[in-house]
Amino acid sequence: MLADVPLDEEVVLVRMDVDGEDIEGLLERGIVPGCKLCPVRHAPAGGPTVYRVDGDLIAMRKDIASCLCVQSALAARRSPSEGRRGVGQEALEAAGVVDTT
Amino acid sequence: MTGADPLVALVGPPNAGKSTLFNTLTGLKQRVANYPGVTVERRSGVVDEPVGSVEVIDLPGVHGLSPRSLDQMVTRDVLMGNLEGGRQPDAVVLLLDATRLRSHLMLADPVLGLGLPALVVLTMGDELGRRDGAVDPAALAAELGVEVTLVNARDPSTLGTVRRFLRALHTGGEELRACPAIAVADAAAAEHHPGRPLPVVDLFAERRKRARALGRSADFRDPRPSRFTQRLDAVVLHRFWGPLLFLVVVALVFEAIFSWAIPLMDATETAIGASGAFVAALLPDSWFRALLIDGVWAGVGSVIVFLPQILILFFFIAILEDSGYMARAAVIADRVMHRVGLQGRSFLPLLSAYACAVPAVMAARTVEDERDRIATIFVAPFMTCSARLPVYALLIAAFIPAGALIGPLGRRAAVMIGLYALGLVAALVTAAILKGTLLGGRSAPFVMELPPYRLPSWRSITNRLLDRTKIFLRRAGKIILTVTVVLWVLTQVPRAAGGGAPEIGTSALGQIGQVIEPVIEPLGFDWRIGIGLVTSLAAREVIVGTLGTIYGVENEGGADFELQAALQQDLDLGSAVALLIFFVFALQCMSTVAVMRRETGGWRWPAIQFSYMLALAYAGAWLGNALL
Repeated sequence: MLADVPLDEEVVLVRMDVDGEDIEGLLERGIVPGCKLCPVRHAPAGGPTVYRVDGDLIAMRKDIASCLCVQSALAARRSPSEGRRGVGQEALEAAGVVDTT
Repeated sequence: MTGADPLVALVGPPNAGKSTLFNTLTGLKQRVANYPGVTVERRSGVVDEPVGSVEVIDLPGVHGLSPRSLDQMVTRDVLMGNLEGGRQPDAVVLLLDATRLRSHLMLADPVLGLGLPALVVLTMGDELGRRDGAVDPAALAAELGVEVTLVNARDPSTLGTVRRFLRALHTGGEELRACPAIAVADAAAAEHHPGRPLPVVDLFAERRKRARALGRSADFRDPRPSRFTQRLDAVVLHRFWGPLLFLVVVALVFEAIFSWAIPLMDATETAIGASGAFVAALLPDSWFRALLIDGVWAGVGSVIVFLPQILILFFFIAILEDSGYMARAAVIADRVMHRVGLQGRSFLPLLSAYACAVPAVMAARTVEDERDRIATIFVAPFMTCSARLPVYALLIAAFIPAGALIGPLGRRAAVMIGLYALGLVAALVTAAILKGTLLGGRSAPFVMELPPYRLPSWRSITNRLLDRTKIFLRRAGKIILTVTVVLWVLTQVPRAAGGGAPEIGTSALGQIGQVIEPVIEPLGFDWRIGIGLVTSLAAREVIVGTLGTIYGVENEGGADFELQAALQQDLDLGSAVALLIFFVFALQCMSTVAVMRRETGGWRWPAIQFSYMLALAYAGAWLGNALL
């Protein structure tokens, strides 16, 4: 889950377990399966975490970040099928992240 | 400006530089109004070109066109021709921040997919170059089928293509091209029509894929992250320095509203008094003069006095917002706000509420989640607005003896701080209760983009302050004018035997006071205070002037002492504290009620809020009176 990713480690979003109503706010900001996210900073006192998403800085609370299923960016590129047993593989391919093969 | 001018809509994501371009293009030829039925502001301006004028509307910043927030709904309705008197814009100018093109290009499909003649303006061209990014506008134009121009919105010399596009609306030049039926027309249609054939995630995944493809074909190279922004964020969001800086900023804003504004407010008051006296001297003694001077001048003047304070507040807010700090402040405040059921975005409206609840209620529209927005609006009037200050000052001076309480903290200052704290606690508790009951349910996700830090432009700040002034005077003036005239008439009828104004006790207003006396007696108030409470329903500070009239003392210059002495005869410590508590809680402000009705789209929320705050005020005042 995105909430567990240490700072400065780039990951790829593979699945979003977010309610229909809430998901659009994320999607419209480019947080879409296949996008790269990198936590860059935690706000003080357990507040939201700031992520770099496609060059933008976006702050998200932990509750949302723990609904976003991610996979290490390196693993996604090197051998897509092994990372997290291929979860969201279609999404990755659709988004053109794993088109290096 | 005539209705026949071609209409152009500026569309873009938040912080893409839309307002900057709008200001550069239109200069001071701007108008701010509201779209009917909603509080989203309609900013329009006229660009004069040799071939004719063009009307430009600056739409709110949006991430998409789905009806997810008020701003997006209005943008979509305008673009589809459901607003603006059923008129669809003749063209759109889509603004995208060139440094954030990767995500901003996602807005291209839904906007260009509407099929209107379009121009794509990539802003922050200078910054993109400085941070080693690159983009080829011509290649992007070839891909999109519409013109694309890279500009620096503050620099008019880079806006040649934009102006040529506007001129083409008159001359029908070939610049005026709509995006040819794009590959994703189906996807765009899916968003514009209910029913959504595509699952929403796939739709956006598709759109992102296309945005990336567009970026690639335009040779877009990401700028390196702004080192300036990184360095500032390291401090601003630092574990220790972040909250400290936050507190310093809040303290500075407070200091400005309460200390720096005072001389300006005094000067405004003097100017209003002097101009009133000047006009009064020119008119013969008549009911008309009394109405104009005692009613209109005094009533409207009592509101205009707050203008300097509100402008100072908005000056700070403009700087904080345009510089990019406000988004960080919201992130820092989110932790505490979340605990009481609100969110970081509620911070700005609640801070504004310390000057006046009216702009606060309007500012709440930046809170995307509807439940959070209503909750923010609901608790904003508990924040100690500046209209309460004259009342607090009068009562504290009359009933709380001066002298030190602990160390340098005086007794009077302590009471003042206590009243502020009481309001804040009531707001937080109310928010928590609301989110557990009427506005319950899951908590909305907090997702907020942090724009790069940028130097605010004076032009944009000046324009915003001018807007604020117009809006404030128009909104508050109308209501206060009506209410003061009605109140004044009530003090004048029925006419006394000689045909003059009646004694205040026998006037219609006095009779109203006596009718409500039994209701407020348990609080320790008599009919005089009752009248003050009735008149203060219009606006809190009106009670000071009303009591002045009732006690028959001149409330000018040092005459506050007389009013204090008169109050000391009518109230004891218990009932004075009761009155203070009443003012902390009660929603005595017609402007707020009116703006709430508009913002929440009906009378339901204002009615609930008014009753709730009145009940709280009554109970609190009763308790205060009983205990002391």
